[in-house]
Amino acid sequence: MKKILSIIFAIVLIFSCFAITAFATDIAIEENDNYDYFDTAYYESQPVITFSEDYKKMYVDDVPFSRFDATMLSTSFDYEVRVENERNSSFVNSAYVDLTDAQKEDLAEIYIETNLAQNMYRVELLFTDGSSLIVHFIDEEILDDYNKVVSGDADHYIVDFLYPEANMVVTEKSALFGTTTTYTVEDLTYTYDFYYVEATNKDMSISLDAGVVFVDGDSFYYIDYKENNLEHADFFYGNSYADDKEIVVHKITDEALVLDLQSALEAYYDDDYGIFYDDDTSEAISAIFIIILFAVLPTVLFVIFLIKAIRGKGIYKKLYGTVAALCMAVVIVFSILVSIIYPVASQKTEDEIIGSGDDYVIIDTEYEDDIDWYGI
Amino acid sequence: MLKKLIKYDFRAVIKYWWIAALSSVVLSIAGGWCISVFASEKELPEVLYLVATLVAIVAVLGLCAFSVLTIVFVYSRFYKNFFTDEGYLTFTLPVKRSQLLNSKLIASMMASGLTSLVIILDVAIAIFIGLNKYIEKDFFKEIWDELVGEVIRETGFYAVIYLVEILLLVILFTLFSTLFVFCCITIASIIAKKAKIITAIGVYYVANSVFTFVLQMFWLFCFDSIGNWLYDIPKNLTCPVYALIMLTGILFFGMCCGILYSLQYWMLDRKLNLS
Repeated sequence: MKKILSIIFAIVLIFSCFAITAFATDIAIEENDNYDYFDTAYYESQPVITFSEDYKKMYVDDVPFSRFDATMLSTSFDYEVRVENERNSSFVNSAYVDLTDAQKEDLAEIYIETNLAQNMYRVELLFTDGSSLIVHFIDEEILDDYNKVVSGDADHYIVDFLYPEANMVVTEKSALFGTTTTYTVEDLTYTYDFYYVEATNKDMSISLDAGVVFVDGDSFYYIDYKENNLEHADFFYGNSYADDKEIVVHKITDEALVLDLQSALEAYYDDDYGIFYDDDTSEAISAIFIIILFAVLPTVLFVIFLIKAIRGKGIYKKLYGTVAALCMAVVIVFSILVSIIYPVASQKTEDEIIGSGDDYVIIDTEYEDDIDWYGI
Repeated sequence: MLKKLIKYDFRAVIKYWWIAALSSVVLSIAGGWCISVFASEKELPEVLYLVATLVAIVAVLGLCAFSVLTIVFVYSRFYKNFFTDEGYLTFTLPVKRSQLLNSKLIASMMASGLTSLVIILDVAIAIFIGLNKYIEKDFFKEIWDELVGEVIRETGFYAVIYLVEILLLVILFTLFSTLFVFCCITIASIIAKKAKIITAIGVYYVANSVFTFVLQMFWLFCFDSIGNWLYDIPKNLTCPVYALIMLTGILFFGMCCGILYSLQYWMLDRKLNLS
């Protein structure tokens, strides 16, 4: 016994030591990250950012970036920026900003965000007089790509089925535009789930929310934001459009694309990851778990403790009797609860199936997209 | 006799507890000063910030230590009184074993309640001292209106039921936690002849891991689904359904407490070998 306990104690001690070491290392890294401003070796791996005097151009390690209008571009990637002793602590990567003497006098703080490919930057300049300026810069090498994407002439369009990442269908713009029909906002937003469509350049470093795809039975439909004068944020996060506003919708007729979309959608449902996003599976597991915990387990315990109470004497009779009564009370109250909730839940499911076709699968695809770039 | 037992148990716990409580109040005053330094709009010397940071760390650690010490006082009393040499005398007292167990439970619940009150008082003192300047006249009224007032307006009479149910849940959860540790100590004292405290920690570790695993699984699978189901409930049924959910929780915890109490009593009555 003593040996076993010693082994358990030793294991706990060793793991505690590991945990403390990991924790201390983490703190040490964080400390180094936050405070070691003047360690030149540390900066060797960091990009150095400089600006022209008027902030019209930005240079990242001498690569020129030009100002541009970044309305509605997506994916951002935050930088921690170091300017003398100014710092922001909540960002995930870092850069060193090398300012001229005049800029040092004028600037209080700088916040920088970039896309994953680090060829677009959003820079917020806070001046010492309290004023601020938000400027967007783009790598001059990809300026043409950018113009193509924002003008609606992108190389690729991606239909994104979210999880896993492989469930993306890359296509061309023309394939998305099939036969035209119209839907009202009410028809759409209360009936279907939507999958994002992004317009991107060849290396997919620039992306713009171009529209959404939805499924009705065996058919796929595409809604283009630009065509309908919609913005991504308007569409997804509560819009001011009247419910009867008509939206132009394209039924996708390109057979190759339809096949790709079908297989991507199937892969999306088949993936194990999907159990957390497929409400049907999730609710079935939850229901089983809850029934075991609040109905089966208390019933079994009720029987056991009732038998014990019948056989027991003195205080044991009272004790076991009380526990048996509590077990039964749990089962009764839980049954009342289920009798209230179940009819409502089953009624709702029925309504949804009636309203959305036989192949409808209840699945919540709305997620908090990064909308940092919107409305800039 | 139970009253006397509770008195002695409570006195034994409170004997050193009040020193820790008083220290925590003093530390909360110091913590309040730290908050006032951090919240100050004036340019203060750097060294003052350094001192305030150190004091704040000590104050936070002090508050944590206070709650840990209460737990240590309660469980060490339970262990010493039942499972060391003192236990031989304890069980020769002319009282029922259930009374011995009940007195320990009630004393520990009282100590936990007092500790919670002192911690709330500490936090209130720290906030009041630290943010006194910034708290406007109607601050508490507004908080009351926005938080409690809103609930009362929305739920009406059910607000009282919720309050009672929440209080019951808190009491039952505290009772459950106390009984859980009591059982672990008792199991360890039965199975181990030496190194009983380490065994008790081991038993607690294993039992707690199982309990936490079940709880995590419950949240992992059920959190979203429960949210969906509750979202679908018509507004006129929301209040009674919430009240019933909490009642189910109360009865479930009551059931768990009943089982643990029975197990604990059975072990004290039948399995204890004081020789």
